[in-house]
Amino acid sequence: MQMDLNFIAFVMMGLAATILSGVMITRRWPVSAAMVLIAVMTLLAGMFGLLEAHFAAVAQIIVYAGAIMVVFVFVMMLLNLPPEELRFGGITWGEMVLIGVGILAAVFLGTQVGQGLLTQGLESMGVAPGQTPAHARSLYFAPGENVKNVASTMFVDYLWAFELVSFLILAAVIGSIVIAKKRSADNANAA
Amino acid sequence: MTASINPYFPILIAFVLGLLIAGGATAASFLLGPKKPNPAKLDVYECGVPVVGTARQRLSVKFYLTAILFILFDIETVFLYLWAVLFDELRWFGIIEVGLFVGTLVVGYIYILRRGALNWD
Amino acid sequence: MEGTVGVVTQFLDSNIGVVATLGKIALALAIALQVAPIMVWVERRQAAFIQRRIGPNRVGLFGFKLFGLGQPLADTIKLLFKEDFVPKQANKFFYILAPIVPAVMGLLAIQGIPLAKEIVVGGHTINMQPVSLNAGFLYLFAMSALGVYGVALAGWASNNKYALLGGLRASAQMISYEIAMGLALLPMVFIYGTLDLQAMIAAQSDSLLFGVLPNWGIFLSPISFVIFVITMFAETNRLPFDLAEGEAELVAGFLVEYGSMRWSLFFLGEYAMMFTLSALTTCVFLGGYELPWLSQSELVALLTPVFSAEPATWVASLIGLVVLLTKTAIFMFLFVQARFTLPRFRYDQLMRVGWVYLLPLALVNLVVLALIVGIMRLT
Repeated sequence: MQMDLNFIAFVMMGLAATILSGVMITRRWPVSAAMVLIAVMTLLAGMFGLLEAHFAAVAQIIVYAGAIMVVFVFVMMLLNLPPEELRFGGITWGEMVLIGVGILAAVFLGTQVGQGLLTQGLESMGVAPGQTPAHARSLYFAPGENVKNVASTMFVDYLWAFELVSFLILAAVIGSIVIAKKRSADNANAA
Repeated sequence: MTASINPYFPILIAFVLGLLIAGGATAASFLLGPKKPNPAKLDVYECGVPVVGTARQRLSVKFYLTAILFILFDIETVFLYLWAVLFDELRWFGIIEVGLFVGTLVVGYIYILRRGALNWD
Repeated sequence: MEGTVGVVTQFLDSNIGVVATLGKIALALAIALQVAPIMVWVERRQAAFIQRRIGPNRVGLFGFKLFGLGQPLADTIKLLFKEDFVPKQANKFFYILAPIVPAVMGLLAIQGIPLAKEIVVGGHTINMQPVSLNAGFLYLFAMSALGVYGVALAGWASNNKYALLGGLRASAQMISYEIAMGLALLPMVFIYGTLDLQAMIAAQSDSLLFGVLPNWGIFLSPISFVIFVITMFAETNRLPFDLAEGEAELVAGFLVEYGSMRWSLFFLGEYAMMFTLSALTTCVFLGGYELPWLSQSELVALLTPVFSAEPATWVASLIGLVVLLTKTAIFMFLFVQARFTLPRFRYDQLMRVGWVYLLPLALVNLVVLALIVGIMRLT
């Protein structure tokens, strides 16, 4: 972990993304929350880029921040939900349990105990910590050619998954039309 | 050869500069403009006639459907770009595989057309 | 004096990456910020000539009329001094944020355009493309995908039912045409074998088609070119696709509650995006900054006897920049010409063109080109 500029930028982005996620869940307007989530997604894309996953960074922006969040925003704007009132009353037992679990998970992952268990798991797969697993290590192109490497891994190692994705998308198309058509049969349209 | 800087560094600089420019324009207008608030000026604009109803009404579901279909075709496009960079390496095998992929989606597209999901009004 | 010059060159030499980046960004921003005022003037004069009148020709500088080139400056000053208001029913934070989004996205998008090939300064070769990612021109798609939010946000934040409707319609239109845009450029990726714009431009000046034509994208894949130009109009909300901001329809659509500099920030973003997409078209289809039959390296070789080795690259890059701007200007001219010639599409016609005509056409184009290129190259 060198203290260079990339590392500092990565840490700052991670911190900003975490803080903004907390901000997101405390917004009163749904559209505000959606906008903050877009900012979080963009920061995540930046972090992917700093980890040299260049294709993932650009795809994150094009697909997640540029398409999926558009659906979120459209739905928020279409439904016109009123702003929620923040509840400042007591905290329930269930919420306390959830917060406790979250803190424990963070401590576990961040400290030596968690890191030690992670290392054991990786070694059982035959990977030294810090290395990539064998099948993904077969870089077909130079390390800088990230898009070509992702593409080659997808078409050689994960070809079935790629073909199945097309069926997933087909299912999503049919499902969304069925849902939308059923809704619009009940409501009066106001285009 | 040039020193290798992180390729995302220019994006950061350009983003900061862009924010400064846009923010500066907004601030300049705020500082330089007169301030004479007037209830009629600040009211909702509907061609000058009194406002009818609020803006928060329910709208057509076609916007939602368009956005969902956009996601699905956008994902397809991203996968196709992955194939296109390896066109020469994957040769006919790649073309056939991607042909199957696109074919499945064309079936979905024909379903969309037949169901009239893309008819606006 | 000698000492300071030495120190400065030493500093520049060791930090050449950062300095070059700042220089390139400044150049791209300068171009972007000049595009809006010049286009305002071009739009009004060209509209006037189309409509058989003269247009603004009186506002000049220092007593010279200058064909009315001072008009945009006068407009900017007027807009700066207009009252800056926030309507009482608007969501204040997003109302102020909404114009900043398309402006910043437009300025960011223009950074992905290669302005020239490269210049050599003090032994360092500098690639004249401010942002050069491994993902190539997908960066530009990412920026235009994010630009959709400015429009939607503006419509919603104004809390005006016509603005909201205009904003949603404009966003829906923009995302509908983004698919056709992506699919139209896809064949160019496997024809030239790269996502990187500089490599694509280099591939276009490499060989000659039939021994005569330059290897430009427009000759290799004209349908892609046509589809891309059409989607370019839709992406920038320009006529014939400007229903969402059309004056006669929803007043100014999502812009109706915006005045003074906020309004002009929207147009800064729109013109910057127009310029960026036009420049992208020239880079992919018209050979970018390269002259038709004279590649940059040949040009540098020609100029080296006249200037020395390094200044030859500077002059060649300057020529390249001028060529790029000229080719882009063709499309900017086309934008304005289309605006004052064609009638506006109705919204359902607009969405139908995007989903029912352009999408299948782009897919068929993709399949046919894949088969043709496959047969030509792989057998």
